[in-house]
Amino acid sequence: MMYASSVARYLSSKPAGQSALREEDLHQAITNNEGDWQRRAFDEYHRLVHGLLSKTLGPRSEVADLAGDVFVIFFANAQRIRQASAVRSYLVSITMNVARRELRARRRRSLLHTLIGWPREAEREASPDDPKAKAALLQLGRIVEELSPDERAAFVLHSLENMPVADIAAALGVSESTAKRRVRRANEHILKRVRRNALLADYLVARSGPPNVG
Amino acid sequence: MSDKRTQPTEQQVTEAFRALANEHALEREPFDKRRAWQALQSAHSALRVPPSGARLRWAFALGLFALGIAVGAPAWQAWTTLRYEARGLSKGGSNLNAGETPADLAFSDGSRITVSPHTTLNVDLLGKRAALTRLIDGRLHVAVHHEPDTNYRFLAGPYEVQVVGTEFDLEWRARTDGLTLVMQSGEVRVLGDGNPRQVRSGQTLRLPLSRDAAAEPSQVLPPASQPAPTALASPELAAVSHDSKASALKPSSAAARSPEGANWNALLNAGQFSAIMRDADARGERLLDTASAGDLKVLALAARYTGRRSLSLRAWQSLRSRYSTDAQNQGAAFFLGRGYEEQGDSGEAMRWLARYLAESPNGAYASEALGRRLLLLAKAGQKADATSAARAYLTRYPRGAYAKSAQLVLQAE
Repeated sequence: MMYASSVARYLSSKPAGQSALREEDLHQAITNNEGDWQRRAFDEYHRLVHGLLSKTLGPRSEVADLAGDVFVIFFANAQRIRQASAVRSYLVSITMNVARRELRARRRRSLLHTLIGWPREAEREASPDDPKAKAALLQLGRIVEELSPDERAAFVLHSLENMPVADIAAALGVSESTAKRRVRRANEHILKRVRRNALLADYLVARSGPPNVG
Repeated sequence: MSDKRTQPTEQQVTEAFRALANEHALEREPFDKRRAWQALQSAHSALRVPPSGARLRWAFALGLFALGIAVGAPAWQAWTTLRYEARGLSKGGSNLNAGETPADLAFSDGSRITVSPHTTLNVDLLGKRAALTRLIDGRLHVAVHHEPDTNYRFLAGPYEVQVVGTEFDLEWRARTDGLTLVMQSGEVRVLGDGNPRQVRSGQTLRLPLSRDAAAEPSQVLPPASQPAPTALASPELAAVSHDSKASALKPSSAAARSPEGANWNALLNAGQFSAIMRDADARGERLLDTASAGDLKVLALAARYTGRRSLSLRAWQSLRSRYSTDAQNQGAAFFLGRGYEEQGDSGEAMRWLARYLAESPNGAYASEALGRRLLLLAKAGQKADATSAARAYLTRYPRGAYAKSAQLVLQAE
């Protein structure tokens, strides 16, 4: 609940102008149970859901089915949403819960596969269009996989989604200092691992340009 | 060759990671979107919803069904279940106990049981006009409102009295006298001693404590106006008679036998209504003009309990004309209303009940008066007045004995 409200605050400023109007229309359609509201909601928010899942679970992840899970939950509960501004935030909270559940399930599956000697689960390749980007993304994804689910959630929300530390703390149900510590630990781990990989480090420096000073 | 490689900062790593993740997500998103929608369509049957018209019809049908249950269940219960309002009785477990003064049970079908002091009973409501009363010990005066499906049963020791509409006194002394039944009107069937029998208006039946107590055989006595053997141990019960003109307030030989200056209140509390009547008969007609308010009330009650309704009404009217305030005449208007109702004069009954309510809106019998008037209005087809009375009743007595009847009147509006 804290997580949902926090995400709601975080996202409430995001949709503006046309987006807000579309959200209002969609909420009306949901409330009135208009025949095509599920398809409209899917078209409007699939990119958001897909992006969140992809960033949280890594580039090698199969997220299409998980996105389907997210929308199944959303369709079953959307008519409880009382305010148009809450549609997006509600969907985000469902997505993050599904992602964290998947991370924990993956850990259990991985442990089981190790114990019984099965091969690792099949992984999907990242985009083949830019081999360097593909390689960098895969390596970053592997580094992120080394984080615990809580550290990973903190990292995605802070570094990839720009959520303030206070909101992350509320979202994860921890103190701000704990949230900061998780973010810091995740960033330190990723930075340390990146710096050990010369090719990856060079690629990221070249891609991001010179660092900001001051 | 020295390694001059620049190490990435945290910011550079974060920005690059974000950009890569966004690119990847955007690139994969259209493909995944198609797959996700297909998966959704096959997994989530709710997406293949029926046309909204059909759904609306289903919702409407379900709504009607739910409404039917919500409204119909209480209405059905109200229609099929008898209720009563107990006054002056205390609860002891499942039993009702009368204290030092007479108490009464007013049933929603118009029946009434007057409970003598120190009487213990319990009542099970079995249907719309059906009740089972167990008289544990003591004395009851019963007036059952007759309808074709009325079924009141009274258990007293091993005996059962079956009633379909009548008025009688029933006494059961578990330690001493056994059963005594004094009929005022109508007819009852008595079972339990292996010899089922009908007991009719004016007759008195006495049965021993148990069916095996053959030493004192049961006896049905004819009406007191006929010559009868004095088989009753209790002389006042032997003298109980129906409402015959022959016995109405005439000086008689009973006057010589009646206790001079008897305490009518004590006799009333002891349930010895016939003793009161015998004394009243001895004093003659002038009693109505000379008796105190207390004695007039006792006379009116005793006359009613012994089936002498016209005398009861005259006593109430005298009480009312001679003592104007409700405190003095002790609800005479209410009892006049009930008396006229029992005589089948609905118009007069409604008039008196309305007068009682106007004069004593918070009187001791206000709930009963409001409830009876409500039923009479509904029965007479006076819908507007019945609706108004029903609303007033529910506002004041939402859990009263007539609450369900009031709800039915409002629902029928």
